[in-house]
Amino acid sequence: MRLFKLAFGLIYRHMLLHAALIIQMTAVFLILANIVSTICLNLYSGNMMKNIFTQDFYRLEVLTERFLRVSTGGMTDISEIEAFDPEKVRGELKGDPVFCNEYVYPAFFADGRCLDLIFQDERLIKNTNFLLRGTANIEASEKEEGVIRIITAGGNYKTGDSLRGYIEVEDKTVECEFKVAGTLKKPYSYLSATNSAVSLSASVIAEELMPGQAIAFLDDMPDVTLKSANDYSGFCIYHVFFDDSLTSKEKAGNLATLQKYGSVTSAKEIEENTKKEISIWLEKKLPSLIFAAVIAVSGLSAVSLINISGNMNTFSLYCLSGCTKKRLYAIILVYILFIVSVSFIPAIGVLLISGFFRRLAAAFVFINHYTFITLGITALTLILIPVLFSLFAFRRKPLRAMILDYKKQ
Amino acid sequence: MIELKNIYKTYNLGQPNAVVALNDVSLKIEEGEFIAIIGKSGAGKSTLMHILACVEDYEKGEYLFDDQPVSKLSESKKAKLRNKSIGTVFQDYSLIETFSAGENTELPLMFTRCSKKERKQRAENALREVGISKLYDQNALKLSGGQRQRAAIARAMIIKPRIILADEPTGALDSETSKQIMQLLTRINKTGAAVVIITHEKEISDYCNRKIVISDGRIVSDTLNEK
Ligand SMILES: Nc1ncnc2c1ncn2[C@@H]1O[C@H](COP(=O)(O)OP(=O)(O)OP(=O)(O)O)[C@@H](O)[C@H]1O
Ligand SMILES: [Mg+2]
Repeated sequence: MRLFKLAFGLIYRHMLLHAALIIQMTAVFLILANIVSTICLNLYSGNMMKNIFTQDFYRLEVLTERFLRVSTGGMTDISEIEAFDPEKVRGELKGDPVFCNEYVYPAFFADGRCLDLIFQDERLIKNTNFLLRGTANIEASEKEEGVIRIITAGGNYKTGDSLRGYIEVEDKTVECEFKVAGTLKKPYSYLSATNSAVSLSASVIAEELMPGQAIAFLDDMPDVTLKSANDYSGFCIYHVFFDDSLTSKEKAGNLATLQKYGSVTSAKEIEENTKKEISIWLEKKLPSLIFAAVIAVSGLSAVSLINISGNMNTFSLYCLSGCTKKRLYAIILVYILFIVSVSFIPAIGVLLISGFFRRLAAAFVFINHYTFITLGITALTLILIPVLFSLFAFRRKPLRAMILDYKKQ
Repeated sequence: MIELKNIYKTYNLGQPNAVVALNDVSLKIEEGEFIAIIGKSGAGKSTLMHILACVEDYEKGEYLFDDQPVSKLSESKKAKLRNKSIGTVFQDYSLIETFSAGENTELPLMFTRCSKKERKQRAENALREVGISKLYDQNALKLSGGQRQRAAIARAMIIKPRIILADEPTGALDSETSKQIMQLLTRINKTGAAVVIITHEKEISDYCNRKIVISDGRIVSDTLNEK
């Protein structure tokens, strides 16, 4: 407290200067958090798809009538577009392919909780490299008769939990038993069939699972419920795995079939786009990351150095009053620590708030421990370098010089 | 209490612009003395004061404080000496402008284990003794010249030092205020602290019991004041 008071003597004199510095550093922290988290998100999404990249996986984005009507304002002659019937398309494909959209139905549990279940094909789920809590092993989990396996986000469910309840599909309800096959760690990512972009990359496909949602195994679904489940408002996206036993010619045929119904992106293309995206980010954002750090460090160093030489009289009085050099360094440290932490707090605040309002977070920042580690390292650098500078400035000044400096003023 | 033995001090030693500031200065100061150091500008008075305050080093000679050679003390021991035994007051008031008069007075206690309450108590007492007890919360910038000097003296005496060093404490004050400050220093001296002041003015030196005249870095006379 005493050190703080002595250190605050330095800030007080240049309130506006320090306010400006603090705003600058807060901005730098946020820029850093944004850049680091985006790079992390890309790397993480790519990692989530790493098994899929090695397989005959395709993503089919079907152009539905309804989509075309909406997006062209009714200008397209929709009679020319073949009506899309997934069962029919599936039948046209050779071998035994996975041809799967995702289906969302609410599940209500006996204890009053409920979740929106996103049903996905077993092959997609087992090949997604989920970030799981504990030692849950999704790949090894096996179907049990009458049990729907689910993967949840957040801490309300534990792996191995058994829940009774029912699913609601349109007007019907189906009683079921649910079993938690795994719970996700932050950022609760999964591969969704809802997003699209001109260049499809892993980070486009990856989506954040909300705490009120869960992934469920489509194969565990009781048959009756699925029949009328094909209602889409926009894109209709299918995840397709070709049968591994097909010849390359048959695979090419399958691909041609898919291309009749919409745009198809292969795992290879997605992988390349993902790599490109990461390298573009590194290329474009790494320099600004470094510059942001340099600006912050040099700004703080300059201000603390100016402040120290401008406050020589204060320091010389501290010394004449019995302050040791060590104490003096401690005061400088507290001073710099104060500025850095005051700018750190709003930055962390913004990050936490944007993490709380997840939608905003998705647009702005993806927080994970790397973000915080980077921020921590930056904060440390921000503290250390100006402190070293200041120590250097002091070391060359004998006490007498400090007093004389002051008397000259 | 204090003994200087054959002190030599040269600024910029070994360089073409070397200045001999003190030349073979020997001096003894006993407890409770009241000494004036007089001399022309550039004679070496401030240099002597800085050496006494342990903020200046010297190339030859010995400085004994209580028979202990100061040159052998570590940086932190010297800081402790300044913190406990030596109070300093300078011509230019030397207050920290962002602090109040009271906080300025407390400053030496900030570097001790003294509690906040005790610090405040003692600062109030010290300010009362110098006659500005009402100005505890007044910002240093808003004090008059005389009030600032009083606050500086309060700070020097708050640690109950054995010696107070004052470099031209009245240099920037009008004669009436100077007189009051000297009376104050005389009173402090009566309570037992030795006081050493530097001055140009004869009337000021008349308050003291002993006069030391310095010229060109040498002590040319050291006489007791007969009153
Ligand atoms: N830091 C320094 N570097 C070089 N020379 C110095 C320095 N400080 C003082 N001097 C020189 O040493 C000599 C003695 O200086 P000092 O400050 O002790 O004089 P003084 O008696 O206090 O003078 P004044 O009455 O003007 O304050 C002067 O010639 C001065 O120019
Ligand atoms: Mg002088």
